[in-house]
Amino acid sequence: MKGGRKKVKQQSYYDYSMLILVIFIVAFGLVMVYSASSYTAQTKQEYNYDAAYFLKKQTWAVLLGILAMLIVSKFDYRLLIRPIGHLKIRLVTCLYLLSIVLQIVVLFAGKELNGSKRWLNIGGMGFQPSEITKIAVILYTSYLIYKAPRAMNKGLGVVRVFIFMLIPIMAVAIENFSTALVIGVIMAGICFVSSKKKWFYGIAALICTGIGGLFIVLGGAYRVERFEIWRNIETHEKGHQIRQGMYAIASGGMFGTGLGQSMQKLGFIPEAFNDMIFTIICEELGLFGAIVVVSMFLILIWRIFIIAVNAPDLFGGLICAGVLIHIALQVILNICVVTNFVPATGVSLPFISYGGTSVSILLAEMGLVLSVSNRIESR
Amino acid sequence: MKATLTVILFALSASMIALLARVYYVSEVKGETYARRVLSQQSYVSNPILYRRGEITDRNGTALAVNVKIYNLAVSPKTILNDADNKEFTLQTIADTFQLDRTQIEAEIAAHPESQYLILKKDMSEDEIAPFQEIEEQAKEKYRKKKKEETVPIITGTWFEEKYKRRYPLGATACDVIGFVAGEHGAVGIESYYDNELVGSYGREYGYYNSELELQRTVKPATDGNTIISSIDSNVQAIVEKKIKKLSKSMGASNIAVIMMNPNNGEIIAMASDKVYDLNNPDNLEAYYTKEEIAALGDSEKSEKRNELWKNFCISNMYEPGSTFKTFTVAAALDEKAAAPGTTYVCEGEMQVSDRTIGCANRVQHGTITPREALMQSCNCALMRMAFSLGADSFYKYVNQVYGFGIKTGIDLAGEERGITHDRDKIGKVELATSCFGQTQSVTMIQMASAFCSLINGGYYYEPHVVREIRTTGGSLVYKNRGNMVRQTVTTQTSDYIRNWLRDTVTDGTAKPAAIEGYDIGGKTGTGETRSQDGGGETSEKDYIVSFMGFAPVDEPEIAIYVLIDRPQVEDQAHSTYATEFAHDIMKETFPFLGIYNSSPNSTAAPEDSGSQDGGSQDGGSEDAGSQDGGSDNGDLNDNSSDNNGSDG
Repeated sequence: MKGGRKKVKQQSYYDYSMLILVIFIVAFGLVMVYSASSYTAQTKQEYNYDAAYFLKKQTWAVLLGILAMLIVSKFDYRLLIRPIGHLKIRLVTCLYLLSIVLQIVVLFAGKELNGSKRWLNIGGMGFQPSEITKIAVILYTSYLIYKAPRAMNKGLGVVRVFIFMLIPIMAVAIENFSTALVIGVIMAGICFVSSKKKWFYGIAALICTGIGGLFIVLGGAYRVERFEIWRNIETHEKGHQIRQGMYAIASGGMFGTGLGQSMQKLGFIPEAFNDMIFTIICEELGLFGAIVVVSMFLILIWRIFIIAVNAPDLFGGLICAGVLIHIALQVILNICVVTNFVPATGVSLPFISYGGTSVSILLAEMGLVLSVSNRIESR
Repeated sequence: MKATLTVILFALSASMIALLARVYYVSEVKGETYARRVLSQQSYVSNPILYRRGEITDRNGTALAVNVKIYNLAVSPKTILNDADNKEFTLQTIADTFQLDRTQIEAEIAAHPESQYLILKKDMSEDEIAPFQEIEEQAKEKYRKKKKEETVPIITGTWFEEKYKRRYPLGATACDVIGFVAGEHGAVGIESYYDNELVGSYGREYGYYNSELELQRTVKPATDGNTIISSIDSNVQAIVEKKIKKLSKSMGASNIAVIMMNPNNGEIIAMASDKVYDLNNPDNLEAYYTKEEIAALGDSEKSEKRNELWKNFCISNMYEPGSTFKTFTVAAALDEKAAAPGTTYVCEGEMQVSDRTIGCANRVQHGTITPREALMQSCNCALMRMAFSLGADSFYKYVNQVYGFGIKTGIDLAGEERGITHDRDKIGKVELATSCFGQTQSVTMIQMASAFCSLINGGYYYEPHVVREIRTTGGSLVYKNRGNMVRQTVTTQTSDYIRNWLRDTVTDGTAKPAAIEGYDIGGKTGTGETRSQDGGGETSEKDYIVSFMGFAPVDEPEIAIYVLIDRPQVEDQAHSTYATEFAHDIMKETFPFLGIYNSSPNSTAAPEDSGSQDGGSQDGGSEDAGSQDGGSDNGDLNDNSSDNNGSDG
């Protein structure tokens, strides 16, 4: 993880194969969003009975995201940690503060949807600040560690990072526990990668499990009920969405019912194009489709891994590690939830689930990874 | 860091692969149970909603094909048998209100004790089922108000299935064009050709329980089929069919058929033959066979007879057209400058072509005549000379590529035939000589009519069609056929000559019986030999197809008519007069409906020349008078040959 000191760039590397893979995944996502949402969209007045309602919105977000990805990838990611002009402040700090501010704003001015305030309305477009928090945490954690890598081998140094990060994570956790959990694990993962004292994290994991357990118990009936649903998915009256999702997976079989042929999306799985989209993939494209989707993600994280270990400096490597953990974690959690392996929680399938903020931010993250790849000097 | 990240990568990858095993577990191990539940919840909460097949109307909006709702009485024997309290009441009510035999119903239900679905009575109207529904409601009302210990029977395990049934308000009128529906799809005619437009799609009513256990209903409404507006005028069509029926009774013929079309856009106004059938009961053969005959037929013979009956003569029958074809040869010769209006030909009554002698119409010697007179008097010899100067290459080109014989016209009806024309290398002198006046090559009526329209409208060949517009049930336009001009056949100048010469043919030539006072009509007669029945050739008893092809008004044609009588049942068949008079009859009665009125003053001059004939036919009124008149006029003109007669050697 040394290097990056030489100013003479001989030949820059750019991971085109990953770029193409990402574009392929989002394009596949658009197809599946259309397939899963068209019925809902064309039967409801609130969507103007327009079958392509969700497809159109998602397409704009994807185009915006791809643009962001390409622009970000062409800038040097190290600009983030250089002071802006003569000011002392750095871009990465700005982003960190901005995410906290937005998260607080959303608590007061947010749009309520399904009982949670998670949305900000900017220029008529819905926008989820917690997605900004994800990228901010990845960058700021990496920055803090980059500034003092040795400190990560001491208890205090790690605690310092944790404390910095606890602020945005708690702000997210108030309204959206599952996203906070994802962000927390990403942050812990980055720390883990950079630290040499691994036993430390064993203890930390135990403590977290304890706190988590306490949280569930103290979280009241709501979270206890989630466990009840999970354990009795086939009988519990509120297990409807997951149960119908499993029916969808089951009726897909090996090769599925064919693209667009899902029965379960016809009103049985509420919001099938959202977190449950993997079940529609399984129903329409079968186990085969599921294997292909997971393989695409495996190749993607493999590419990110390659860039991470070849990154010119620790900052770039940690960014890549963070993005890698982010994507893999969401894929794993999402599939766990829809197959009822863990209790239901709202985690979307990266790049594929409907959700404009999520896909745009993810694409911007990929832009960062590409930017790191761009700084790798060819030998 | 590299090592740690590698471990993390492998851990994450392993988790993802392990999750695929979980997916496999859900889809394969639980698969069957879950998949069955999917199906059961589908059938439980989703009901299909019927769509309405598109209607068919004529050009004026008169309904030709509509849908009526019918009801079937369905029962669930299992439910009825297991419901001892209500069984008696249910069965008795069914028997009483639908006049069914009680013991028979019971036997049927007992025969299927496990069944959930049995149809007891089919095809009832709303009025027929209303009394039953009323009794059912009353019983329910009573049941609601009863005291606790009382037993009040209700109706159980019965329901009505709704269906749409196709009805054709005009019965047999335009049967060949409209066609009928078998099952859910059209079998022949417009019903078949435009089936994709006419069928709609089923809607569905879904219900599901949301996470709060509320039943959510969503309705995806059915899409009704589109309405088809035909170019047929049902009034004109009815008159034509009435005339055909009358002629078929008074004279009889193997086939009689008529096409009327708008020469300016290819719209078919009427298309009829004498083989009609009731669209509401298309399988019934009783109109043409006695009950005993039908009983004697096997199933395959029956379906053969039916298919024969359902055929549209005007588009699927091939025949040799005879002298009406001369119009096409003359137009081609003019167009190619192989003949000019002033060219003269000598007719000696017969002509030697290669090794055979081909005679003129009844071996009349026409002397020296122009192309105009050749058409007027239907002279074979002049036509042959014209064809020879036109040459086989040009003739072949005009027949096959310009006029479109030997290829389908593309009319929007199924079952069109192509006809049979000579290949280029098969056209020798004899073939050229006989083809030029309409023998040895086979055509369909629609080919003749469509090509003829192009000769009289200035040379524009329009694809013939029977559908003008397609609209959604909401009335918005899906498709409109404004006339599809396919090619230019002849020049406008040629067309002008042909129109005027055909007028002369009606005023002073062989087609005199077609004239109607006050109308400016042009036309050409035809007598073609047909060989299908006697094996053909030169036996003494020859069979003929007589025909007339006409249009009005001459200067700006609005309607073209083509009538054809196949093997009229008379001693001497070879008289196109039958067809000409028949056309006269039809035109006279239909023109007012078509908005074709007396012609302009300068063109009425022409009919005045043959005032006696017109007067005769009007005074007489009946066909007999007309026929005598026509006959005598022809005699004056043609030295006793009352009409042309194409006879090849």
